[in-house]
Amino acid sequence: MIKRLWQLGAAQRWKMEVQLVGQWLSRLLVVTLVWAGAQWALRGTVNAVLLGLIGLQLVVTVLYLVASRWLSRNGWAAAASQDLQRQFLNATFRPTQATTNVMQGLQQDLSTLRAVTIFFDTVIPTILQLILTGLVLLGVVLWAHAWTVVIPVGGILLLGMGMGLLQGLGNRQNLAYIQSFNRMGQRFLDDFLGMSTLIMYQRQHRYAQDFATDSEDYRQKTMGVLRYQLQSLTIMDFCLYGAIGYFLLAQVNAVQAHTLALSTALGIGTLTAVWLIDFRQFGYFMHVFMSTLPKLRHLFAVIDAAAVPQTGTAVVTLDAPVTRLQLTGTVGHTDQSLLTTDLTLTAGQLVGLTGPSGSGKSTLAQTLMQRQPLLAGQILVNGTTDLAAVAPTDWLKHFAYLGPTAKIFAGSIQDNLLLGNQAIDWQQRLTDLGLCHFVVDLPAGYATQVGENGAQLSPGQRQQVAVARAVLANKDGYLFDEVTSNIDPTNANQILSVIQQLAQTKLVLLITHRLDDLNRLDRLLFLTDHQLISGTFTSLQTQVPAFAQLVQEQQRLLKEVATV
Amino acid sequence: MKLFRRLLVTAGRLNWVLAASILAGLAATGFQLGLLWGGFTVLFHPIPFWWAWLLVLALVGGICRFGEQYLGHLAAFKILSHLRNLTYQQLLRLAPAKLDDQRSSDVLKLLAQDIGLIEIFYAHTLAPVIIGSLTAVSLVIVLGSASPWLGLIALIAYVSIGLGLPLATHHRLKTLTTELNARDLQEQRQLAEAITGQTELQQYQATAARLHQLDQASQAYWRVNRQKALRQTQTAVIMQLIVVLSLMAVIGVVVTQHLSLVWAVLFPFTFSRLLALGNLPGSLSGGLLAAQNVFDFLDETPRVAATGTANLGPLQQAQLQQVDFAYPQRPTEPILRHTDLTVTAGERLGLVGPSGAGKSTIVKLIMRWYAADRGTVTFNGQAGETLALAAVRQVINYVPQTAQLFTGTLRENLTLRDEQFTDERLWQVLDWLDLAVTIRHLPDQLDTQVSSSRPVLSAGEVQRLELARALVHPSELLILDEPTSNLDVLNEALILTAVRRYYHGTVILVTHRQSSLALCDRVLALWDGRLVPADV
Repeated sequence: MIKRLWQLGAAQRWKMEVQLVGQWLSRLLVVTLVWAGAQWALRGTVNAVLLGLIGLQLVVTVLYLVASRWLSRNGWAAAASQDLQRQFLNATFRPTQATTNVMQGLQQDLSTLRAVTIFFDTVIPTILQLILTGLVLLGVVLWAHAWTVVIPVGGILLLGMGMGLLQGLGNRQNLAYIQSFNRMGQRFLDDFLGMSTLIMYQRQHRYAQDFATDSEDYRQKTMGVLRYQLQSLTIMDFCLYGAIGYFLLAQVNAVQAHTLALSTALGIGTLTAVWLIDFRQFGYFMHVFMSTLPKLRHLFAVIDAAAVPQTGTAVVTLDAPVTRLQLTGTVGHTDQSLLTTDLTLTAGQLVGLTGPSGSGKSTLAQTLMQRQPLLAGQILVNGTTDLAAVAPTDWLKHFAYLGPTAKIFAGSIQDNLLLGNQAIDWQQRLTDLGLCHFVVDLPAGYATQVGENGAQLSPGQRQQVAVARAVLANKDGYLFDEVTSNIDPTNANQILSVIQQLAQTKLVLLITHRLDDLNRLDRLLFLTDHQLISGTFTSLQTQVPAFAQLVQEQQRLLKEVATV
Repeated sequence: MKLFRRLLVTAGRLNWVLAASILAGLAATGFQLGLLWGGFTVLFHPIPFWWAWLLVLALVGGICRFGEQYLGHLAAFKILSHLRNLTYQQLLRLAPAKLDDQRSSDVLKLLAQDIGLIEIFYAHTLAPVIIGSLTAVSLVIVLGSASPWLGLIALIAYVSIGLGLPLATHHRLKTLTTELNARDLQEQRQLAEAITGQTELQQYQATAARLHQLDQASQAYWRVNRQKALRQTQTAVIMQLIVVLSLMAVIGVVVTQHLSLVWAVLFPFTFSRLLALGNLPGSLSGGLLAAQNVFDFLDETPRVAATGTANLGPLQQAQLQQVDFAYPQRPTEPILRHTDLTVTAGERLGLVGPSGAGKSTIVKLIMRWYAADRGTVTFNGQAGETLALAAVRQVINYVPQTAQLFTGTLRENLTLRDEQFTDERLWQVLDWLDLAVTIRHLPDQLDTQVSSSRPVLSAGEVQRLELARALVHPSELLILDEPTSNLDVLNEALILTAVRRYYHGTVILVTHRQSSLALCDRVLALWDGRLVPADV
C-alpha cells in the first residue's frame, strides 16, 4: 500500500525531496545553535565545523523560503492525487463495468481521492524528516555517549507497545463513530426533506425526539473516539517526555564523571528533545493512516478490478450501419435461464416487447447491449458478425439504450441535447419530430438551466430531453426500455409518435406495458413463461390468454375511473 | 465581537467546563516546561531525587493535558449537540413555508457543514488562544525577571509569531480558503456527475470531452490548493527563522551577562503553544463564518406566527374571504386578488387553472403554510389566526405532487412512527391501492427498507404509498395537490378510485389533468387570481 502511494506522481517527487531538505535543515538549526552557544559560554570558543554547519543551514533555510514559490505550486501532492484520480476514473469508465457496482461507495471514494493528499503533503515528508533526525541522533549519540542511545530508542519502543495495545479499541470506536455520524446525517436529511409531511401529519415532535436521540448518540460516539485518541496521546506524552528526562539524567552522570563535556551534553540533549517532541505528530499520522486505510484499499480494489485483462476474442470493427440483428440462443442470468428463442430485428420495423414484470424483458435488453452475456447461442449483426466479437465502445457507437430514468446532466437543455451530436439543424429536426415542444414556453428556451439531475424539469420533460438526445445522436439502432411508463399521457404519447417516426429508417425495439403503446404498434412480442410469442395486438388478444388478461386488467381500471 | 459574545452565551454553563479546560492546559504547559527546565538544570547542579520528580512531572503533566483536551471537547460537542437540536426546532417553526423556497437545499448544506465547523471555535480556538496568550505573558515575566533583555527578546518573538504573522496572513488566507472551497465543490460535483452519468457519456461518445473538462476543474482546484499550501509553508519557515534569530539573541545575552545557560536551552521549547496560534486565523475565520450562518438561521422569523391557541371542532366549512396574496420572494407579482372560496364538509372540489396561476397557493393558505396579505381564512367561521396551528393541521391530510419517501421501513413510512396503527389496518389500506400484493411479494414485506435513492417500488407505487399514508391517518379534509400529474393512466386510475371509494371526508383536488376531475362534484377554475365555476 505504502509503496503504491509512493509511486503515485513519481515524476514530481523530487519537489517533495527538495522541500524535505529545506525544512529539515531549518528545523535542526535550533540544535546546532544551542550546541554552539553552550561551547561559546563554557569554553569561549566555538568549533569551526559547527559554525560552518550553522552557516549552511541558514543559507539553505533562506534559499528554501525564496524557492518555495516554485516547489510548492503543483507539487508532488497535487501530481499524486491527480494521478490517483485518473487511475480511478479510467477504472470506472470501462464500458462493461456494471454500473451499480461503482455507485456503491462512490461518495466515499471521491472524498478519499481528496483526503489522500495529506500523505504527500504532510505524512510522508514528516516521517522522512523524523527518520533523518533519528539517524543523525544515532550517529551523534553513539559518538558522544554510546549506551544512552538506548533511552530514546526505548521510549519509542515503549510507545509502540502502548499504541499497539490500544489499536483494536481505536478501530472499534472509529467504526461506531462513522456509523453514528452517517445515521444522524441521513436522518436529518430525510426529516428535512419530509418536514412538510411530518408537520401536516403532526408527527414532527416524535421525529424531533428521535433526532435528538441520534444527536446525543453521535456526541457520545465522538467522545469515545476522543477518549481513545487522548489515551494514545497521554501514553505518547508520558513515554516521550519521560525519555527526554531520563536521557538528560544519564548525561548528568557522565558530565559529573568527567567523561562528557557539558556543552556536548547540552547539544545531544537538545537534539533528543527536538526529535522526541516532533515524534508526537507521528501518532496523529498513524491515526490518519489507520482511518484512511480501509477507504484506500477500496479505491485500489476498484482500480485493480479494472486492470484484469479481458478474456476477449478477436475484436471486429463494425463499418456498415447496423440494419439487422438476429438473436439465437438462451437469455438469462448464470443461475437462471429466462428464455430460449430465435429473434430477428430489422431496420424499418418497430417491434414492441411486452410481458408481465419479472419475465425477463430487461435482461433481454441488457443482453442486446452487451452488458449481459448469452447463456448459449449467439447474436449476429447484419447477418455476419458475432456481437460478442464487437468491442463494447464500438457497439455503443451504433446502438443506444434508453431506460425509464435517463441521466440528465446539470447545464442547459441544449448542453444535454448536443451531448452526442453537434448537427447544425438540430432545432429544426426536433420541431419536425414534435419533440421538446415545451421549450417554447420557457423564457430562456434551450438555454434553460436544468439543475442537477435535471431537477428543474418534470419527469415527462426529462424523458423528452433524453429521447431527443438519443435521436439527435443518430444511431443505427435504439432500444427503448419502458421510456413511456412512468410519465403522464401527454408526454408519453408525444414520445411514442417520435419512436414510430424513428423506426421508419432505424432498427428499434420498444419495451412497454402501456395499453396506448401496445394498441398502436404493428408487431408485438409477448414474453411470458420462458416463451416469446410474436403477433399483432388483436392476434395476441385472441390467441394468448395471458396477454388478453393483461390488457383486460388495464381496461377495467381505466373504465372504473371514467365512470365515477 | 457581538458574535463572540453570542458564542459564549450559547455555551451557558458549559463555559465553566471550558474554563477548567484552560486551567488544565496551563498546568500541563507548566509541568512540561518544568520537566525540561529540571532536566537541563541538573546538568549544572544536582537536584535531590530528580529521577522521582521526573516521574511525577511526566505523569501529572500527562493527566493535565488529557484533562485540557477532554474538557474542551466535552464542552464543544455538548454545545454542538445543543445547536443541532435548536436548529431542528427552528426548522419545525419555519417549515413548511421555508422548505417551499427554491433555495431550501442551501439551508441544508449550510447547516450540515456549519454546525460541525463551530467545533473549531470551541475546541480548537477559544482555549488554545487563551492558553497561548497566558503562557506567553507568564514566560515573558519569568524571563524578564532573569534579565530584562531576555524578557524583551521573548516579548518581541512571541508577539510576532502569535499576533503579527497571523494578522499579516489572515486576509490572504481567508480569500484563498473561500476560493478553494468553491473550486472544490465545483470539481466534486463534476466528478460525481461524470461517474453517475457514465452510461450516457459512453453511449454518446462524450467521455473524453467530459473527462477533459473535469481535468481542467481539477487543475483549477489544485492551483488554488497549492497557493494555499505555499502560504502555509512560507509562514512555517518564517516562524522557524524568528525562533532561530531570537534564540541567537538569547544566547548572546546569556553569554555576555553570564546568566545560567539553562535559559538559552529552554527558550526554543517555550514556543510550542504559540506555534498553534500562528496557524489559527485560517481555521478560525471559517468557524466564525459558520457560527454567523447558524445564528442568522436561528434568528429567522416564521412566515406564519404560531399565536393562536383555540381548538377546532369537527370541520364544517373552510373559507377564503377577499384574500390577496403574493409570495414574499416576489411581492410585486400578486397571485390571488380578492379571492373567495367556500369548501363545505363532504364535498369533493376540483381546482383547475393554468400552471403558476396559484392553485397550490390556495391550499397552502388553507393549510396555514402562509398567511393572507389581506382578507381572512376561516374554519367553521373562526379566523385562522385564532386557532392553534396544530388544530388546523390535525384535520388535514396532504398529498403533494412528488411523493415523500422516508428512509426506513415501509411500515414506518405509512405510520410515521405512530404505533397505534395495527398491521391489519395497514394491509387493508394497501389493498385499496392495489399495493398489498406487490408488498407481500417482497421478502421483508412491511419491514422492507426503502429510501428515496433506493425506493424498491416504482414511481407510481410510491405515489400510491403516499396516498395510503393519507388514508391510514384519520382526517376530515384531504388535499391532493397534482397527485397524478407525473403518472401514467393506470396509476392515476388506481389513485382516483381509492379516493372515491374509501375516503369519506372532504376532498380538494388540485390538478391540470382533465381526466382526474371525474372524481369531483364541483370544479372551480382559477383565472387571474379569481375563482370561477368551470365546466368539466
